[in-house]
Amino acid sequence: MSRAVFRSMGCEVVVDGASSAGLAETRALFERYDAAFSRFRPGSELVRLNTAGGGAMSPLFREVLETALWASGQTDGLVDPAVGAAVVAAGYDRDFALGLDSDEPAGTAAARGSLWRLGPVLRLAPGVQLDLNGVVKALAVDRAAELLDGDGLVSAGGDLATRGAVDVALSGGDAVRVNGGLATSGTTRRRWSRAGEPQHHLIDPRTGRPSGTPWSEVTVCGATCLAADVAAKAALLLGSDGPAWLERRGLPGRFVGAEIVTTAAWAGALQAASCI
Amino acid sequence: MSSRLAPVRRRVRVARGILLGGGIVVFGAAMALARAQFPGHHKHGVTNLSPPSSFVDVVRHNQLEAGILAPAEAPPGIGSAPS
Repeated sequence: MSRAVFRSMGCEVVVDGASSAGLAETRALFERYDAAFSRFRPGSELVRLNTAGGGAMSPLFREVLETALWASGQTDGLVDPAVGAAVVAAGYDRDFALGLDSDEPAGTAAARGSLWRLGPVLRLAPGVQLDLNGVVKALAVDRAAELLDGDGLVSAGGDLATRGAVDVALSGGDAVRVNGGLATSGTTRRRWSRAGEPQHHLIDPRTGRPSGTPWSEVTVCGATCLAADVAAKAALLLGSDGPAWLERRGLPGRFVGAEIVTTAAWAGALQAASCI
Repeated sequence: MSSRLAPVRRRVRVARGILLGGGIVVFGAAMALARAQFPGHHKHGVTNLSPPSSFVDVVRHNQLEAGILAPAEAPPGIGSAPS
């Protein structure tokens, strides 16, 4: 199976099973999403709307914002698009590759706020900044997987969507066979320090600060990469309540902390000898 | 003369009142019956044709669907990493 690797959205994108035309479309798709939703590209639509406190949205921006609001509804506001100001206050105010460590203490900012939409027009309440990274990468992965001609996969930074069954390595040497989407959210990557205090990019909207979750990473298998990613983020932010939250939804989840905890759906699937 | 006309006028007033009242009662009854019986009239409050809200709530409750997971059968060609 042909494999292509390129960089977009600040991570490595892997595509298996795409034709050359499909691969070109996939690259263009990721570039379109990055150009619209980057927090660090001055001309991005996200930067324009955050700076102006709103304005006219493109159809793509509307679609992704609606998806982000859907994710917020599904997670009782845990995966929220209005955390942009809190992410910046924690110190993630430039491209991660430029280095974020600083002697300045982290600030605080509201991680929840109002926004209004009237057709294609968006208005943000004063102080509200959007950060759509909670859904935009997974959404791009799912859209790219739809472009595959047959079986294959699309992975961006380890969040993936498959067509057909794919064996995927996890931390700790484990591996699983996935058909659908698989996403891992964690606090071990994208970490930095502010005045000696460790920070990471997963903001808990309830506090406006990087989550104090006991899990270093949470992996969820979903029907799509988006479903898996949203559930993994919510479960991680819920801390010790995360496993029960996934259990109630019947989602297979794997939590890595002081020990590895799996939901019944995860453990059951791996014990079953059935094929996909 | 006027003493002979007074009772006549009183009977006329009474007769007019009876006719007017009776007409109102008959009209009201006819309207009520029409509302209750005539097929073209709304007999109850109008309800939406959309699904009941309880059903919609159940469907919307959880759209985070699980994927299919199984034991790995071959060396993995890709890894999942925290993002």
